[in-house]
Amino acid sequence: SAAEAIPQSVRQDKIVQGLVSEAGTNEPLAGASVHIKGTTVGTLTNSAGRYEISVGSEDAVLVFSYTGKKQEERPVRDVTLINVVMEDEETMLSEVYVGYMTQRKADLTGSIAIATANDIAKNPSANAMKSLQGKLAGVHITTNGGNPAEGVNVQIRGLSSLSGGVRPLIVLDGMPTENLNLRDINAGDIESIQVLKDAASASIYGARASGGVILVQTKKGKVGQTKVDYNGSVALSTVIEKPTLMNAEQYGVATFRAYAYDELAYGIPMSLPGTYEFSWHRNAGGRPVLDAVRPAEWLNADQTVKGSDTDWLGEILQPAMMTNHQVTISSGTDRSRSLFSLGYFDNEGTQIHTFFRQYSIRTNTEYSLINNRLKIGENLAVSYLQYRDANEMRWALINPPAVPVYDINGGWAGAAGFDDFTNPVRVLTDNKDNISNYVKIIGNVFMDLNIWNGISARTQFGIDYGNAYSRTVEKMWSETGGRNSNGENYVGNNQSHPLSYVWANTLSYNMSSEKHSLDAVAGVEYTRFVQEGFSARREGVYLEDRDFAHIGVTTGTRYSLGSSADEYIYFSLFGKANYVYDQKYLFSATLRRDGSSLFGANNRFAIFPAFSAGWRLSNESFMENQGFISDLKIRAGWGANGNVQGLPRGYTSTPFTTDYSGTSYPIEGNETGPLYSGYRRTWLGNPNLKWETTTQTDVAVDFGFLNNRISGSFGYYFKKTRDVLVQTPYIAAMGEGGEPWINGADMNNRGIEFEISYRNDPKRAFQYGISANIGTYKTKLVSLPENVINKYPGDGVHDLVLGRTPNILYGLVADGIFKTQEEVDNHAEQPGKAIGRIRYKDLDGNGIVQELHDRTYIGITDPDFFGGVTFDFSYHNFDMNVFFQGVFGNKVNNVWKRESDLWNISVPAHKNHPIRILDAWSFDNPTSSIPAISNSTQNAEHRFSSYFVEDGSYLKMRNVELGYTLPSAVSSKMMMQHLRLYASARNVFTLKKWWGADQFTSFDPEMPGYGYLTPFFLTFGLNVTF
Amino acid sequence: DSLNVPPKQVLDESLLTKPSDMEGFVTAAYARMADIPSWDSPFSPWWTGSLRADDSYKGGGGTWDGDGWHFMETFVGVTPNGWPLDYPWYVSYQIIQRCNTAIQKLHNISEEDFPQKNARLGEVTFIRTFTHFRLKQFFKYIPYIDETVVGTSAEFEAVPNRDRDQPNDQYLWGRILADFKKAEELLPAVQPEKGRVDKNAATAMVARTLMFMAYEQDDRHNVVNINKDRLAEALLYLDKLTDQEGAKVGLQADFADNFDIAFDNNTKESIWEIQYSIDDGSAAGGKINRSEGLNHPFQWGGFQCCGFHHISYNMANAFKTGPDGLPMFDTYNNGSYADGHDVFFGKNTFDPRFSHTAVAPGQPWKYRPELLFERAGIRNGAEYGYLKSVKELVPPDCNCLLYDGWQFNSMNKRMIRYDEVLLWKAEVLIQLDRWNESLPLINKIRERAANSTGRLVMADGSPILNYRIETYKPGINCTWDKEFAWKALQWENRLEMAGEGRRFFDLQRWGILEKTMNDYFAVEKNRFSWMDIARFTAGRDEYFPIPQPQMNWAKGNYTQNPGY
Repeated sequence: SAAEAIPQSVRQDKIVQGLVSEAGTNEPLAGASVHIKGTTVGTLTNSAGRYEISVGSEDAVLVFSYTGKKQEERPVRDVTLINVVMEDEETMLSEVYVGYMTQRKADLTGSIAIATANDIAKNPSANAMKSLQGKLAGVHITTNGGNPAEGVNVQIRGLSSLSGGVRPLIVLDGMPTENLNLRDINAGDIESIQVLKDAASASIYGARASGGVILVQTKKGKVGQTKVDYNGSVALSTVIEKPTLMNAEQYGVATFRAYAYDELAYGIPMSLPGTYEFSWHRNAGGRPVLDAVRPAEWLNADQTVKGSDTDWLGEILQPAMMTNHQVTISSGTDRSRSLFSLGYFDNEGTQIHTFFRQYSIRTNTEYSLINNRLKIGENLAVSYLQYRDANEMRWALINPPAVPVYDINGGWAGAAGFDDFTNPVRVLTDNKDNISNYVKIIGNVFMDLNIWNGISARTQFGIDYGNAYSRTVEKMWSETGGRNSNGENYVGNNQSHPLSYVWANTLSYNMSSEKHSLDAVAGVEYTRFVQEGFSARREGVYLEDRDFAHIGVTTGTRYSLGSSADEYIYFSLFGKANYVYDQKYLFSATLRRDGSSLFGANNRFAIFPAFSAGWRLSNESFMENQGFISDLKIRAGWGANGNVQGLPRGYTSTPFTTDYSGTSYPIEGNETGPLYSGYRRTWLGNPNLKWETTTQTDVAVDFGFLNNRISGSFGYYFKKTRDVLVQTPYIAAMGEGGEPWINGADMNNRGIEFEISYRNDPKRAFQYGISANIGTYKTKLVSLPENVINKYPGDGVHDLVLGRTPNILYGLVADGIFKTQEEVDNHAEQPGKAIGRIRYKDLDGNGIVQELHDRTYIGITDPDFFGGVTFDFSYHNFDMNVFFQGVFGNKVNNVWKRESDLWNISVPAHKNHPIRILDAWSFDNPTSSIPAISNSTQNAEHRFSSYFVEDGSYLKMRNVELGYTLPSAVSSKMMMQHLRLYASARNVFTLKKWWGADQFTSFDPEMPGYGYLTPFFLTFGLNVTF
Repeated sequence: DSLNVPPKQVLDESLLTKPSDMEGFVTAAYARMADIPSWDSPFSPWWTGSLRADDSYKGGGGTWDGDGWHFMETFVGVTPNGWPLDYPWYVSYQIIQRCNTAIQKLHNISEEDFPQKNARLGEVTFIRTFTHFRLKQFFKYIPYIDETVVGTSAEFEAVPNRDRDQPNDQYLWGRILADFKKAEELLPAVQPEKGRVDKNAATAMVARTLMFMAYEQDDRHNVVNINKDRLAEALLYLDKLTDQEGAKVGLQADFADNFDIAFDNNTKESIWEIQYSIDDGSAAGGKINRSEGLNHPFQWGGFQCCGFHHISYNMANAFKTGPDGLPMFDTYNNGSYADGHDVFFGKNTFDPRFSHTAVAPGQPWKYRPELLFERAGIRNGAEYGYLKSVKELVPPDCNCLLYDGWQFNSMNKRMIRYDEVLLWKAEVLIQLDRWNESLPLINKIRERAANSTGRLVMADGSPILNYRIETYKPGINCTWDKEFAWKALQWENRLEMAGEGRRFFDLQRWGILEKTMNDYFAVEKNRFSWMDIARFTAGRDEYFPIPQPQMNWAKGNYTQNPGY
């Protein structure tokens, strides 16, 4: 009992008791911490919210705390009953980690998007950033669809580099990481995520911050009773949004239409393929008319591949299970706090034999010594990932339905008699055990010393180690009537070891008086990243059994070796100061100086300053005595930060490399065996190479009305990126290795972000809230080196990308379908034009349609805006959450339309198509907007044109969740403090543009093409606290 | 400086200055010449020289499959932006740059320190000049980059493809000629390593350059003069080769040896071969010939890609012989394989070189009587016929085959053969009005062809086809005047080098592309409907357009070829 914990020095002469309850609901709070201020003496409330504590002195003060509630203090004096109603922690007062220091949210002068563990839990994924898609204003998150390996791409406030997207810097528990994918760590361990969007906030991270900074705080032990949390869920997933493909008969009908059309349009004689049996005749007008069609009985001469009706998509798709278990044990006293968690996450993919599994363990402790003056602690997480990241959507979508999966002997069937196909079931099955393994060890140790009077020092050493490993057994295979492995099999090994370590030392100073408050930090940070990797592959393994098939027992003559290596160092100095006067006037300044081995020899150090200021109008006297505005702040900031992600290693000198495949030659005339190898120039060095610099101006208003029941923020930003890295293409006459990287281009981004949320009166039993956010960005290339302009869409002469976004589509303008021979004859010269074919605009009016002269800009793939809306409801013990996410106004190159609308455009021939193609133009269907089915490519419709450009806007219902929390009276009988059950559905539906000329004709605007289709999930789960 | 972290896995240029480092620069030049990682290689002969002539069809899945080649074989839709022209241009200058780097490095080394200096200089000068020669055949006007061009891209952009002060392209031929002569002086007669270029290769290329130079062209590519001084000089160099005829240099007894990997580096007929190897530890599977990656059919499991390069019906007809054993100069193109396999082969007699060049369904694959090629091995017979080109291919069980999504083989590519040299000499002699001297040369080629039937048999030992071939016998089966000799030479050239990528450039040199190709299309379009649109435009189609990206990067310093 609590009494036993009381030290001898405290006289046990008084018992205080009482009830702790929650404001608004008046529900008793179980597990709230009650302790005597300045001591370690404390207890917790029981399941009825009651507590009892012995107090040694009437001067004692009781401190009541509970996660998410404002801490309360009550002097004991002469009373023995103290009831406390705990209110929700007022968010404007909570502390926010902003990089090397924390700040009160009310005092922030930058643009920081904040997500909590709850936001992540509401849309669970192995990758926390995927869960946050649509939840953070201005943070554009794109995913790889339904692939269980959960890759995401995060772009904050638009594209600000040309050397690949700039990824935000991820800072985990204060450590800037060089090699962290948030997929690697247990999403359930994340307490909060702060995204530093503006330069003034992010520039404390200097040269790596121009893509924004994502600060991830993991869960720590808290002062209070030992708590055991269990979260578990199981989900069923299945693909709903997918194309409907033709069956074998429909395919035969379409094939016939192709030949019939080609005879009419181009005079190509009917010569129907032998893979189908057609019966047809000519009508009175001489046109071919199909009577019946079915696949040939046998597709190959050996009569082992039977003409079938295969649903290839169905063959590779499966309903799948996703399972998640997480146990977190935490406890804490004034002197030590600890947390331990175990996690297991298993996501079977909706394509057969694909999956992602994560096993994770985390432990952290923190000790307070010398009267709370010294804190030491550590935080360590280990994760083990196993996954099979495969996607065979393409073959499943295009394989002819008449081809079976198996031949009659049970072997794999190939596309006998059709063109050159691969059996996707074979590929997925044969490789099911070729999984990828990844171990991540990440953590830190720290010491924090409160030296004197607000001055404290902290040292933290962190490491981030990854170990990627895979062994691949490439089996011998043969597809009857198709391809085979040429009697060869292989074993391949691949491993890579990235390691980074960061040592940061900071000195901070906090001072506050009645009117003045100053927080400052200065520090030094050293980062080193090293990586080595090795791969080998050798032919000839006697048994393909995985227990036997290791590379050391292969005996073949064919082999290959590979290696990778990287290393770089940062040495950085930084400082930041925040000053608040009278809670009204806020000032902040930052300076960082980064030195890096990545920079050219002539540019070793970079300096990034930033300033910001805010004015809390709501604290001014003239705003008093009005009830409407509860909070109002205007803030503005300016700062510079950098990007180094595009900086290639060693591009500052001119090296040569031995590249065996490319520099060796059989100089002795040998047919096999090792060759003598030379060396080639790799690149031209540029010792002036440096980081890309983004300066950003940010203006925003934060507001709260009606006691903060309406709150939000509206901001505008303008980003200007100079010295953008470009690898200059050059005239071919210069030969190879002539491409230096230079800091040559300029680009701008501007946009707005708007967040708003509303809660109803907290005293009501029926609670609801709505929060919404939208973000926009407009990207513009301002200047490019002359040689680089041709790398971007345009013709390089008249149509230049300058002044436009690089995310722009350039091509011919499709102008409908030729409906009559007259239209064909009256149109400009267009090789291959015919009735039923696409008409292209002759833009330059020279009477001939030519790609060189008739292309123009036909769409921008940047969205007009993107965002999300969340609805929360609760009524007594029920809660409900509904979340929509959307992207609006972007054009997409619907690559799938090339396959769905054009019969024969690329290798291989005889592809299957969705049933949409049956609506193609024909003499019986002359109003169709889909060109006629044809085997001919004379009209070259595969050329990129506006035919493929469609509106990519979508609104998706990402999540709807219904939860029920057992009354504490019930759960306490079950020895639980808290029990919540829930059911949720994810990816429920998608709204896309279904009208107009630019309507989206494919299945998922987020993933047009051969991507891993996004499945629908139905989840059941529970959260328990013991 | 603690922030100084050297890049990994690269060599600093300053380390590579010792005599022992020199071989590496030279080998890298050879490597790039051979390791052009795609079939859009500048040395890929079948699309540059065969499908653009009357020898071959593109093949593959359909007209859309490798559509750039479809445009080339119909001469419709070839544009400066079209695939695959920019890549061969770029790769060519990579080879040239590696050669120039080697030359620059070799100049800093004395012969005393590096006794092979002159031989190596000769080798890289040869490779560089051959690359320029090849580009010249493609594009007519090209920037000539030698080792004296150094510096940044501005220096290279400043070298025009066409010197506007020059009346025609003779100055470019002149530079190529001078460089081949320089290589010939430097190169040793015998190289201890078989993969290296030797003097005879350079001698042959000097002669070949003089022959191209002799047929002088005007601005619209018409041959306006045949320069006999050039031809006379060419003859001197050709004589240097024919004078060596004997044990080391000469024709193989069997024509088949030229297309058999067992004879790589092992025929007296081969004057220069690009070396290929397999299972050599390369991550790519081998230093393999990547220019024919699409040309294997689909059969026996050993061949899995992709049915490109078929022999044209016109070419097949050219192998038909009359009762006199000579080509049917005037009537050869009546009828075709499309009349039916048995009709075609049953009622005609053939030059044996047909079966070295092509295989039809039911016939043995590549000298292997037990392996009968099947109709199912043809990917798209309806559009490209059923005659598969085989010279560049190997047997399906050859351990020289590599499949990595495309199908490659490691047979060496014979770039110059002695039979060609004999035909060049015959050509020069006829043009120098010494046609009587050309007769024994042409007959020597025909005699060898007549004797090359030993491996052209079915499993039962019977000949695959009804072969009949005779030499030219003036007064008996012909009248050997200049006109006839010229026709006979042109035919012999086509039959001997059929499908090997020479034909287009011979027609280009002789100035008869327009007539030959439009005559060909006029008949061929009745055999294949896609030929309907084909039309050769004189004054344009003799050369490729300069790739548009290069036009742009040259910032006005390059001149586009007429018509594009």
